[in-house]
Amino acid sequence: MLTKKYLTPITSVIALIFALFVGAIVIALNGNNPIAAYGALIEGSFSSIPHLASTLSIATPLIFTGLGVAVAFKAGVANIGAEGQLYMGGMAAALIVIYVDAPSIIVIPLALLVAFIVGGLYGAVPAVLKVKTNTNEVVTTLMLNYIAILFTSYLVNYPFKVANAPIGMTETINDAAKLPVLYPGTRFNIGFLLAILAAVLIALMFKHTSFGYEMRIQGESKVFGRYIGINTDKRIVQGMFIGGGLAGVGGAILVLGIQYKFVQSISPGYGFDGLTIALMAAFNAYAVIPISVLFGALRAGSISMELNTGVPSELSNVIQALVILFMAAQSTFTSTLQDRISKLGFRKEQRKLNEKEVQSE
Amino acid sequence: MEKKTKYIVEMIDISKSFGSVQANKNVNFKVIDGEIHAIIGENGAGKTTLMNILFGVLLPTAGEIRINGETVVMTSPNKAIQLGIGMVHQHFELVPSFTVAENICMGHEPRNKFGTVDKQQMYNYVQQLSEKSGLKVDPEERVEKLSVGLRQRVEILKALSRGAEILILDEPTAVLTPLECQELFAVLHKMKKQGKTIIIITHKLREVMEIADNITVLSRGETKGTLHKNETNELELASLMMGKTPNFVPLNKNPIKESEPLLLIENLSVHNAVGKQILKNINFDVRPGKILTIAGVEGNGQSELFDALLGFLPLSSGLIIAEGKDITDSNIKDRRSFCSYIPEDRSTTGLDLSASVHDNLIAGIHCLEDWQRGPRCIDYKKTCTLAEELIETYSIKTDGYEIETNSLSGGNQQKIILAREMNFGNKILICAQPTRGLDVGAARFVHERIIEMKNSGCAIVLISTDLDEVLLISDVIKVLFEGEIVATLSPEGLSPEELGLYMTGAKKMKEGIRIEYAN
Ligand SMILES: Nc1ncnc2c1ncn2[C@@H]1O[C@H](COP(=O)(O)OP(=O)(O)OP(=O)(O)O)[C@@H](O)[C@H]1O
Ligand SMILES: [Mg+2]
Repeated sequence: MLTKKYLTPITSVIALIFALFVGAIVIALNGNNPIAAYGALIEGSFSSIPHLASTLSIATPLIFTGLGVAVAFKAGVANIGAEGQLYMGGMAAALIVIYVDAPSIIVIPLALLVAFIVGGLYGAVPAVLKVKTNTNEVVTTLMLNYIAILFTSYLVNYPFKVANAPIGMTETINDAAKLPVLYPGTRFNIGFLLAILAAVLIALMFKHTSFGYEMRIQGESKVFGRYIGINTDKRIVQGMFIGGGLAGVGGAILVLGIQYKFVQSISPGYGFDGLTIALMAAFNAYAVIPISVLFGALRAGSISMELNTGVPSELSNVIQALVILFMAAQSTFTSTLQDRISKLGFRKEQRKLNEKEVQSE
Repeated sequence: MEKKTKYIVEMIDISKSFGSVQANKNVNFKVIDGEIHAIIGENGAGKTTLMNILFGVLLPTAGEIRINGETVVMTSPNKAIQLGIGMVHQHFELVPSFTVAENICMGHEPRNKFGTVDKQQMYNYVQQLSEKSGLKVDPEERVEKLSVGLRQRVEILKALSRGAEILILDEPTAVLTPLECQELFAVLHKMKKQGKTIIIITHKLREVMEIADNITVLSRGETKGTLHKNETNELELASLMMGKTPNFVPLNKNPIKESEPLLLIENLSVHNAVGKQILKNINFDVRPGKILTIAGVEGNGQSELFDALLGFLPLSSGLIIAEGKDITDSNIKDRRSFCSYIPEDRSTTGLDLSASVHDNLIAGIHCLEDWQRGPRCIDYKKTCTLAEELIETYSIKTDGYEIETNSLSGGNQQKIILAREMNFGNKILICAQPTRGLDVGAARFVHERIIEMKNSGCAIVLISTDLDEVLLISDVIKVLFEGEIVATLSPEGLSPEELGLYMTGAKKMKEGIRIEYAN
């Protein structure tokens, strides 16, 4: 697995550059102009305020899933299940706002809270299995994704299906339950501000509280954690609860702020994006924000890229996959690279020394 | 000039800095072909760094290396191995789930005609190598089942199997029992006879005088000179190392009024996961102002005893009473409010090496109200001041408390644990190998601190394999052999030889083994 040692901002930037470069080759091999394609991508994501708004509204759930994964990893759990946690949280929020008729000030916080708890419990399940029965969380969280996706799909196709809809979905939510929009005419909403607030809170938790201290110390070294008296089992479950909860809120924001209903397959892989984002951010809560915005731009821009240049929007998936590939490759590569660089410097030193000796003789 | 002696290794004007820390300053270091050469120096003097440079792990900032008179640029360990250099690091680098032979042959396994690993040939090869060098191992045993001493043999064999003619050993004796030490030295002598050159780092001056031909002293990154064994003595070496003549006044032990035991262990037994009994009916008590030592050869239940006292291992029977309270069922956190614990393995159980020095120093107090403010937040102002103070008092050599613990020298990492645990102010201290890897001065400092705690009325349990340490500071010695206490001895008039006999089970005290509790 990628260890902390190799995850640095530089690794992420290098990986991204390589990924974009290889992406360009792929575009060129398909007979398109990579510069035009990337130009269209940037234009579609940052060129105007509405474009920027759509980038940021995609970034919002990504920040939540990215944070969710980061918290879990810091607690020493490899959470591959953010996608499932997002689905469960989103579904819970949808049901709350459909069945609770109350003013915004009540119904929105209530829905977000319930989404947090449901997502959190869904994340805590594999954590409990891990500490009680030593089950590998990579396997369980991964499998729970499919259960969540299919379960919510069942719910919106049978018990909660709205009549005459082409695919499974709930009815549209009340206006009172919709998240206030920040830029009129778009769906860019206050969820983004909540995401930033969440990142700040998580960063503060790890940096300042003794709870956060225990969580990260035992995440780094379990035996040491136990030796100094940390209840590691408890911290692992709590870490996954918080992580799952954050992903769940991400789902709630998709429902309350973007789709205004729960549709089957509501997320195009935001949970998995969250994994990439967390890894690129080296599990640092603040770093999750800009990286999520970047990924939001990739998703938002790739659509206009497809429209304008014919390069399929799936390219953004290719680039993401390449980023992960290059990050993993670097875990062995960076050390070699650093070695090379310092060796170059060393050779120069040696040459200088030799020259000096020659001169002095 | 001195062309007559043939130097196999010459390191000339080597400098190495890590950021602002200069670990080596114009170090000159020469090793004669076929000798045993010791490097000594205080913790953080730059010994490991120098050897890492020789082995190609680190690149020097400046300087030149010659092997057999030829200048080489040591760019990687592979290059060093090609040049016939082998190194056994302070922390071993073995794959625990692999067998001994697999570890030794990793990377150059013998192949059969299908191109797959020829296991039989591999085991035969390791068997032969083991016999030839005198390092006895079982090639088919898994490394995770081996004691530290045996793991070290595997490391040495690994180096030899790659054709090492120059063998670097970084503090090999720190983890060995006296007996294992003697075995190692015998092997080293044998290797010397076979024409190999050995470079050994150690903190024990007695060992240096016993085994080395020449001795190089490092101090604060600089060479203080190379001396021949016959031309020097322990005192001179110590004063060169520390830059002053060590003036060790005898430890000042104050007798304390007899009173109720602070720590009482009754009938303690522990079974391992597969039901084998590891500790059998251990009984002892420690009164205030007393140091009780558990002596023994590693692997006779000491680690399990430590873990049982900490609450890390469940007891199969028995009672633990601390300060009059039954803590048998308490969790680790509660126990730590009575007892301080210094575990033996600093790299896994004693420290989180990837965390900062500060974070390691505050482990344990982070959850106490005195060190918190606001909503259960750690009071960083206070903890940082504390970290600074501890770094100062325990002279921990570090580039500040925010630095990653990994970058400290071995001995300085050990000091972090000591500083943390001794600072709690608990009345009971349970320590395992507290001076492992410390230089003479630092070890002395720790002994003084332990005695100071004793004089102030603390009860101390010392688990140690270091005979000198045991005889120096104990009030009572209990010898642990195969999970049982086989002897209770007083250090007065006890010779190391006799203690050794008890430790290896050659001698048992009658009452020690006859104590049987009907239950
Ligand atoms: N990777 C590193 N990064 C930063 N500083 C380092 C690094 N490695 C070593 N140092 C510093 O260099 C100095 C020398 O370290 P070194 O490990 O060589 O000491 P040593 O003589 O082996 O000590 P010990 O007896 O405690 O093992 C120390 O002050 C240490 O903090
Ligand atoms: Mg060292």
